[in-house]
Amino acid sequence: MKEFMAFIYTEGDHMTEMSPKEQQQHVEKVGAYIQELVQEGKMKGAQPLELSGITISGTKGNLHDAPFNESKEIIGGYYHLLANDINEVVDLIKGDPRFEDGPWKIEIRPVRVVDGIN
Amino acid sequence: MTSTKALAEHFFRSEYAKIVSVITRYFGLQKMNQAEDIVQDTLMEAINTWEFKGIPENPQAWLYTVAKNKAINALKKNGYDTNYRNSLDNTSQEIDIEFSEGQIADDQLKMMFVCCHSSISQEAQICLTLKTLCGLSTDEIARAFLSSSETINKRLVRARRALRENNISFDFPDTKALKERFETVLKTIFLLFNEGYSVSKGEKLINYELCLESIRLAELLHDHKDFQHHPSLNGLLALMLLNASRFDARVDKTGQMILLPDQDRSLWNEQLINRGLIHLKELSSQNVISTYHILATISAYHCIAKDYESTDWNGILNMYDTLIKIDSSPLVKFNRAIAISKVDGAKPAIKELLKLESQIPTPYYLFQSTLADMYIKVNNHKAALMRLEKALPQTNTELERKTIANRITLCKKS
Repeated sequence: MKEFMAFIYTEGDHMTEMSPKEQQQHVEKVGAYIQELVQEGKMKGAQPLELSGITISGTKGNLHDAPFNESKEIIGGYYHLLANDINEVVDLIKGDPRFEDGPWKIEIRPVRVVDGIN
Repeated sequence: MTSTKALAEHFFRSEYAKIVSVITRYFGLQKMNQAEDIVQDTLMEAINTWEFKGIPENPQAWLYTVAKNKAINALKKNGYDTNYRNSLDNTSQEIDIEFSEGQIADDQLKMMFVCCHSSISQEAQICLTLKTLCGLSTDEIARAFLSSSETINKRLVRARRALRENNISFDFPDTKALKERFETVLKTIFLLFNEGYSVSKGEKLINYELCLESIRLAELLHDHKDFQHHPSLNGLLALMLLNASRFDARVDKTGQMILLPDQDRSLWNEQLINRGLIHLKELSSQNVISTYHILATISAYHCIAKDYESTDWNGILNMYDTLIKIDSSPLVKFNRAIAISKVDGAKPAIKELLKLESQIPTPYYLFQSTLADMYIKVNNHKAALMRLEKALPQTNTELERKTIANRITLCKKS
């Protein structure tokens, strides 16, 4: 089994335009999707992220911290997944019911392993 | 990581409505928009967290805590709403927002009186009620009214502006005004119900929800000790419950209307009928008669009859005789004429209908086809045929047209 990270980008504010009823349906179906993957042993973790934070940049002795306050494309959460290969992850992510409720962008990145050493 | 807890049906919707009412009390109607934004933010935060982590152990308390924090922050930023500060004896007191069951019920009732305020047009009252007290989105309201979101939005904007400009207070009106405004609230609830109940408009699912929401709002009123025994309220509740019981039986698979005589009575919702009858019973000990009470009693006669013919038509005619003294509209007279035909026969009914004909405001195919029915009963096929031919161009749906066309063919043969 290989490890993958899937970063979920929120696109626009379509979620706020949904009615409370539709919002509830969204929570219920995405929740059920994640839970199923956890039970199948394919999801190691899933966490939401605050939309603001702090960015630290520079070199030692010259480090700056600045508020992280990106407004457009922003990672709203991530999945930590286990799968045989990236194609399997692609299929899993395409099955995320959140896509039924408007545009999203999910970036899949395999956790790097070097053959023969790790 | 994830819990298996499920949310109650309409949890988000009903919590949205509860929190808006509670928070608006602190922000004042002047800043109702801000209160609504805070609730929307709260729900967004719940979505973003719960979809990953699952539903928390106590989702209601979770929402109230988040909403409370957001509201307190915003109120502090507003420099404390002046209205609120004035209402406090001790201005240095820290704000605390209470979300007890009693407080929620109380604030929702107050909000109901606000939404049905006479400074707002009737249609805007309904929109504001659906948005604020039922947690429907403008899109959902638009779908129910076969209207556009823009139109609904405009109505909401106008309604909120009227509340601001007229400086409407969030508190209960005094006893004298309360009585008058209570009737307006009931009227709005009944209009809301009828919006949902009309077959010709909107989507079936959302329409049924409108009916149930109207009943829920009336039940909120009924839960309050001051209104519990109010005759009009019990009459309205009985009427809505009894009528709603026939919701599924009124439409066929293709969405066409099925009239009372042809409905499959096994589809009537017995639970709703029983709940309606309980409210009627509550009324029987009181001497006051309201239009709702009369209409509910008529509806009850239908609900408890085995079939259309064995309905207690004497009882129904009695009710129409009483109703016509309060409401002599053509529709009431029309329905009374049908009851007359069942009790005294077709001849006197024809007489009533002919007297009524000039008062029917818009061409109404059912009037002509009912009159045709009566003529057939007295063997006057020529007059019946004439009426059916009048009815034909007045039909609204294909099914109605076909039904009338078939009857014309039959009539020509006899």
